[in-house]
Amino acid sequence: MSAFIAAFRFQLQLIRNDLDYLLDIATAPVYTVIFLSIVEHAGRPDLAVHAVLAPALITLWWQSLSTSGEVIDSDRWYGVLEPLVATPASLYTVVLGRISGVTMLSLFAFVESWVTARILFGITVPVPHPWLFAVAIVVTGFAMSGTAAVMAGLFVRTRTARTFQNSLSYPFFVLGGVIVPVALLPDWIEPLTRVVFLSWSADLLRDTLTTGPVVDPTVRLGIIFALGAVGALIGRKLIDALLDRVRALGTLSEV
Amino acid sequence: MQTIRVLRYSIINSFQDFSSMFTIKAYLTGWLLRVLAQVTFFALIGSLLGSEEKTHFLIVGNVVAVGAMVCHSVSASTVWERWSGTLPLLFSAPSRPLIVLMGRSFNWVPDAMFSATGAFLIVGTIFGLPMPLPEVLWVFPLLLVTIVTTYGVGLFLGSISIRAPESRNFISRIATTVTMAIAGVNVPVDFFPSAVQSAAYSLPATHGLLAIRAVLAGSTPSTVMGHLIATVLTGAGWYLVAIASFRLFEATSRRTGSLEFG
Repeated sequence: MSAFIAAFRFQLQLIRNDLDYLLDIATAPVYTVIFLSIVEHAGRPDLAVHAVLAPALITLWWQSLSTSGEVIDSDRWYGVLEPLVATPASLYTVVLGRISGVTMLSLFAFVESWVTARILFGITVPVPHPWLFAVAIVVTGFAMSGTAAVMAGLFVRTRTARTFQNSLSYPFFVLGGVIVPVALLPDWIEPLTRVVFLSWSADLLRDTLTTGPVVDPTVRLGIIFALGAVGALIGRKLIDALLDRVRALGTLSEV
Repeated sequence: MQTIRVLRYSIINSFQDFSSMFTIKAYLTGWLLRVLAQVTFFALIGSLLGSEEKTHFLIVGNVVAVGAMVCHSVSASTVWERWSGTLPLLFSAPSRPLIVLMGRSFNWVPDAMFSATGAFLIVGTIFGLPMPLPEVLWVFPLLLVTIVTTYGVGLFLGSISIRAPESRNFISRIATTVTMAIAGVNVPVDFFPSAVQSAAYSLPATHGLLAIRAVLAGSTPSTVMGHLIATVLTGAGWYLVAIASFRLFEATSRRTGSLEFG
């Protein structure tokens, strides 16, 4: 646990000195303008909830995705990967701690979206179910960290996989229903969306922002948590297997 | 003659760079998939709005936005030249470094054209975008002019990022999202306050997009020509600003000795 917390704090310190880590957070207000201008121009203020929530989810995904791809790579670049692996702390725990630091920071995008909507469009999006909304955000953050751990495990296994890092954004924004609910997608695609935690998170968060009862909140939170936990376990397996292999072959520097 | 030779080698170099980034398979299954998903994402917002007209508007706008996004990658690739440690050598060579820097990112132009054309044809077909013949054939040269002129914007971004290499991704990303927000990509430019409209009309992508929308709407040739001329003029303006900015960087670097070998 201490390794996780140390990695978490270390990542927050890194973020202060690296502009790239703030990239997605800086663009969240612009995405809010894009989505709100679309729904406002169309005369559909009822869709403001979709427009305000989407930039936050996009930022969360993008930030975690880019960090998961960079974290081991940058350690190798700075020559600290070998000493890190030689310490008693698990590499996986360190990676998860660092990703969690970024994930926590990117949750600030929720605040940015709401403030942008208020200041630039005069729109206030109420939160009729504040406690459920808060819990859903925390569980979504957990699921994001778990999913990013899978990506970290995959990205580091093959260098060509890094080529795809930049490509895992919009396909998942569609499958995750970040602005358009997955129920509106073609039927054949819906089973695929259900293994993407974002689709559950986006639907649940939208429901917490509308009046009326939220259906099956515990079950839906449980599914988001479970998908995140499965991701975290797969990520652990991938990173542990990779370490076993490079230790046996003595090729850590080539990771 | 020497200028053309240097420019040609620089452009060849840019394609070599590009081929080290992508295999054809990775490009088609990775990058192109992302581009198609990006335009589809916005097209689906049109479906959410329940308007076929909005869906088609969003598709055309985001096709052009994809082209601009790729052109803005000049911000990063210009910095690669600095990282590779060749700038001091280029500055001491008899030819102008400006020529090299203007050519070394040219790979993004065909990339932008291919990405935008692919998105237009594939996503447009999926969502039933009307493509009347022969008008639709004009879309492709207009798209090319828009991309070539937006490359001038990318060069300007590169001239800024080469001074602050750590901000290369920041600059291109902000430029792309701002373009998506104000350039008439998702809503007409007149939706925004006049100050924002002025900023939007300084971008060639705004005028190029208007030209493409005009062609698809069956507007008169003079209307299309007006937008096309505005695209070329604003693009030329960005090329001039980029050249001035690169020259200033060159002069300052020589005077202060601030260039390093990688």
